[in-house]
Amino acid sequence: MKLNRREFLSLAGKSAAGAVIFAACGLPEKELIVQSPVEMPEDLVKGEDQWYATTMGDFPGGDGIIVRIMEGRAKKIEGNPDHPITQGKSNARYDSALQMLYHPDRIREPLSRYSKGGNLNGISWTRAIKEFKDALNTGGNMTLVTNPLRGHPGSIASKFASHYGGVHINFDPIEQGILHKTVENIFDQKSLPHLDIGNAKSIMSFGADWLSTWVSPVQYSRFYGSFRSQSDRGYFIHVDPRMSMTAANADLWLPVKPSYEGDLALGIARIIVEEKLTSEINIEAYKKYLSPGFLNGYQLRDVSHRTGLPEEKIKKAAHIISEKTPAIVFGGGSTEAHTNGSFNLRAVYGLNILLGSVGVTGGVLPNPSSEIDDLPASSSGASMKEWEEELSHWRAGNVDTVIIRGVDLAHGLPNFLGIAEALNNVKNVIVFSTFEDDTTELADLVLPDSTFLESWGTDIPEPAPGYLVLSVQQPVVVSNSRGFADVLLEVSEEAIGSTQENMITSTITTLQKTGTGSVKASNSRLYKKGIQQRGGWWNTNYSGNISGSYRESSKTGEISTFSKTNSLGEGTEFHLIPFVSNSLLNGQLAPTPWAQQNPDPMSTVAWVTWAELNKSEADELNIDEGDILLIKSTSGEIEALAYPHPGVQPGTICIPTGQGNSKKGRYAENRGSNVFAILADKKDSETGALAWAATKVVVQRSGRNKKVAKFEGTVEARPIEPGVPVLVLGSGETADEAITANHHIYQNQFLNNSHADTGISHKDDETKTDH
Amino acid sequence: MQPKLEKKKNTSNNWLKILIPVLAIGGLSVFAVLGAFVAFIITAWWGQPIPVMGFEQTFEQPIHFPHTVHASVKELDHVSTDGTPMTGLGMDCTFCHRTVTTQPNAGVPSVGLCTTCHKVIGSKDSTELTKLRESGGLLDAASSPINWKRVHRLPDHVRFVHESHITYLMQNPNKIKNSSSGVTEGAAGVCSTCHGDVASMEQVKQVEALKMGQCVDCHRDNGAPTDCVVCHH
Amino acid sequence: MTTNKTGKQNWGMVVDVDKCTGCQACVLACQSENNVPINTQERFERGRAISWIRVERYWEGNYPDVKARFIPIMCQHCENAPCEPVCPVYATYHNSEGLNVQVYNRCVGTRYCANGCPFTVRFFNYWEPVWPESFRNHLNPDVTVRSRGIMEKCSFCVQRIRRGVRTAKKENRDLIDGEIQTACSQACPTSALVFGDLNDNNSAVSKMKHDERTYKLLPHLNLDQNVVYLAKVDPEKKIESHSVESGSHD
Repeated sequence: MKLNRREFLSLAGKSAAGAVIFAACGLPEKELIVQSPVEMPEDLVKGEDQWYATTMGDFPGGDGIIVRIMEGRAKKIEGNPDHPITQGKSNARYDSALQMLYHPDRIREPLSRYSKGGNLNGISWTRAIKEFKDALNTGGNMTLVTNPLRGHPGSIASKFASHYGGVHINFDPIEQGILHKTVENIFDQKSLPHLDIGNAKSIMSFGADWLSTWVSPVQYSRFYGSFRSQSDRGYFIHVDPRMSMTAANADLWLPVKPSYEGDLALGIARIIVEEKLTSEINIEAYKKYLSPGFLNGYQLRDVSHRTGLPEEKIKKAAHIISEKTPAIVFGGGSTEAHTNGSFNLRAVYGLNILLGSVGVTGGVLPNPSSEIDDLPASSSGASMKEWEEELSHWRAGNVDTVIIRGVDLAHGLPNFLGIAEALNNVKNVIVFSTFEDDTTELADLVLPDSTFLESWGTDIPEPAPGYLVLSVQQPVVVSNSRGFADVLLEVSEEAIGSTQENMITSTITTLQKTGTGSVKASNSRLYKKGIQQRGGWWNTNYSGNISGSYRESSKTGEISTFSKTNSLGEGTEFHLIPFVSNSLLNGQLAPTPWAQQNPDPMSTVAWVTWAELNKSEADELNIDEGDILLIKSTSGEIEALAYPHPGVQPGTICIPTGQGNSKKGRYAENRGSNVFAILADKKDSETGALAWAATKVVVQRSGRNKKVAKFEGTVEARPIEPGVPVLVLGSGETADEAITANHHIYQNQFLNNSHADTGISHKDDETKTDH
Repeated sequence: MQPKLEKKKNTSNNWLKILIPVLAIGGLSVFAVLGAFVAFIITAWWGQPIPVMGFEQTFEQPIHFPHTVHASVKELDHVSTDGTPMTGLGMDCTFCHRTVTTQPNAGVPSVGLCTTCHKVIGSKDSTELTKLRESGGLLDAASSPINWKRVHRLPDHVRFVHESHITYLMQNPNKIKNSSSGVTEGAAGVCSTCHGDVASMEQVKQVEALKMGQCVDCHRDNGAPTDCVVCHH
Repeated sequence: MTTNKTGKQNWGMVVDVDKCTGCQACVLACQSENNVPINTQERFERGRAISWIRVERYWEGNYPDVKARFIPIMCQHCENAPCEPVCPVYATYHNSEGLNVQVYNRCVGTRYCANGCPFTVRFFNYWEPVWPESFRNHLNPDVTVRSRGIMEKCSFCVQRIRRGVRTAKKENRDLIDGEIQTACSQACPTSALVFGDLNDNNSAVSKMKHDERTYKLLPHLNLDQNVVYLAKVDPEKKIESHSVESGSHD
């Protein structure tokens, strides 16, 4: 029979479809492969998974972790049960950090830009190293920018910079040295002291979100667990303009007006001194360097007025911390982020002297100041003043080479600094990064940085737990990427050291010679293996002294200032309080989907940038949840979704950090807004650190609305009946008693249409209630 | 007028002449496809599926590894380098598949284990051994792993642990159900329960269907847990 | 109190709400351990995000006397589970060790079980989970990777339980309390989550379940859960005086 062309094709098509269907039902080739490796990997020798001890490098705290490796792949990160800081515990960042390792959008090869504003092209490592060396050998000025580094990476970075006659400057958008300077000023400690929270009877913290992201959250959370396990449960007071996650756990939250934390601390000091709530010795020690009548400027009525807190609450706080001793008073975070930040923080830490908590169990304990093998044990970001100076050099074209590593500088620096323009005037901008981000956009040479799972390193945890600890980081997966420290060593042609591993080995040998510490072995090879197995070296034998002295300075009592809003046009003025995101931190974990999808503890929002407002205030301003707000400061403007809730101080607007990246992989790009960008040019008057909580903004509704991606339901989450699901007991109450009491309260709401807390019902009232 | 009408009739006839065979072929091919599909399903349900598209019971491996030479104790067709007929080496299964007593997976040995012997043993002219030596890096090429094709495969929702089964059967050799030729010495007896007489296979073949029914029967008869979650989690 | 078990262990968990800080370490640890699918913003907004354990936050009062309470909620492994008898294909059942088991390969996706759960701890895969190629490297090989149309929920890390039981059997010894840890209880930095064998009188959970702060969620439903909560203590709470008048309650 004759088939015309069309029919033939359609027939062929039908059988081809059949073939396609069968092929789709078949098994994918790669599922059928079982591989014989050339040599048996360590974890397959015994046939079980292997756990390797290492350290969370580039995360604050220096936490020791163990990583589960199966067939050469990292599967899970958990706390190292042996390590003094984590003791087997972890936090929300550990598992998200694991996703950085296998992220599909990691930079795979060095990238080079032929001219400013051109495209990035892939080049080989050999060529990249050559370009790097050429840049340095021109003899011009060089600046090395890193995240605050301790241990070997910090040592190598500093030595590298000085080898080339350059400058090593740290960047941290939040911590810019005030905390460290305060601690040095008051306690004469070169690194953060050990806060024995687990044994304290009361804690008063100012601003620092220590259970969530501040300094060493795993360690502090462990201590918190012990603090609450005590027979009298401990009393926790938190002072913060915003109800942070830490504030939510406090027994008493004092929503102080921003920047008046110092006043509050001194007001409390005055009450304690006046009413002699502590011993004479303590009062003498506290007042030793203060001018007589110093505390008279902090009368209760004035302090109450300035801080916006009722007098009884201030008195109550004073009584609690002086009665329930040992008490620890500490702070950080937004307390220091004002123009009077140093004053605030000193006033806060000074209270420990008054309470006699310095150097006692349950109080503020010393950490060893002796370093291990000259490695830096303490580090924080450089102040904004230093940064302005540095950037002015860049802008003037005085610096030929800028090397950036471990920080997304363009994301973290506020707009008013003009980083893009500054970097444009630097001839060679070399950036080490795991992802393409806002900073690599401005780079001439981009080098793919290893994650902490792929490289060697060490870290000295800060704060140490009261004794010397060196956390050792070892590569747990085989990888082709190169660690930044090793690249620096290669580029400097071994003038500083051969490889980081060798330098670490030599430190380990030094430790072995001390004959002390957590590892005992007969020879140096076994000793090193012992250290790798335990995840580090520590020596629990430490006895040191610590004492405190609280002095005034010329800036003591200075009123803080905020940025102005009169030129910003229409809208309502608010006080902007940025806060570090529990999931994303400052943006380091923004590329990972697990971090992006993890709900924020207070708002349960994920994936977006939201702005927290007080619920009643939002109702007055007709702002609904999901309204897109335009938030303008003297530095710039961002958008955020409104999220009103009851835990915000009226007059403040709180926005999380971390989003607003133009790149950084598929999960982070073009998502949310960067709150760092709009921070105003306000600095701490003593140190020049950025006063990141001193920005005032003007907020307008844009008229658009978008559903807020939140995990909680659509109705505000309040218990429908008391005690469900969170049963709350008073002191000494048992659960059964509380349940019965709640039952009565709930019933009464329906039975007699009267206020539930009378607890009394009237038999005769038969009228139906309306509810 | 008439010729025109006739022409029309002819064209419609032509269409039918083409359409019916096309439909017939189309229908037959669809029927054939469906039939093959149904046959596949039935054979897969009752035993081993029709060996197509990756469901084969045996594969050509990248290196033709004869279990007969290594594991069997019988006389072989192979001859050694000096021309004398060989007897199998009688190696125990666990000499190579070492993780069977500790890990869920029995695993295959590394290339290094093979080259321990084959550095020196075996003819230099053998094509298979040359491939092995190349993988092991003994000849000028860089070493590379060997990608074997998996013969025994369980779906992802099954968590089968070799270790407990090997241990149990070694302690209770009377429970071994040898469904193929009676190899009973050492671990080989235990392994052949599910894998058949591997020692007699020139190319490894899956002889047991490894269905859940078989597993549950054996578990029930031997007092092993029949709780779903033990294997499905 | 849990009913008598025929199996050797009765797995249970004690959650101390007083120590829970809301840090989400448990949530991330569970996701990592159990291959919980990555969600997207769109799914999250539609309420389809899968989170075997979640930390709920409840508000009490109003500013400035507002309080926020955190409570971690996961499958309660109820002895009288409302989700178990309704499955038409018997994909969920209660095993002899006290676990509410979900068998993935049996599930056909009727979602009747999720309908019955008063705690909303059962999650359905409405979409095929997307695992980008390189992320498959960190999938846990001990846990099935679920596909679309399957119900999933907290399993008390049964893969860890099985492994622990196998190891103990191999070494011819009893299980040591604390040896088997679920991912969440291992991660929790304040030790608010404690996992163990309720049949073992010396285990931490057995001792804690007698504490005077214990309560269970929705006790009037008589679910006989294996998860026991320890109530939050608020020293600022005014204890209601029980002015009980006769006839004032039902």
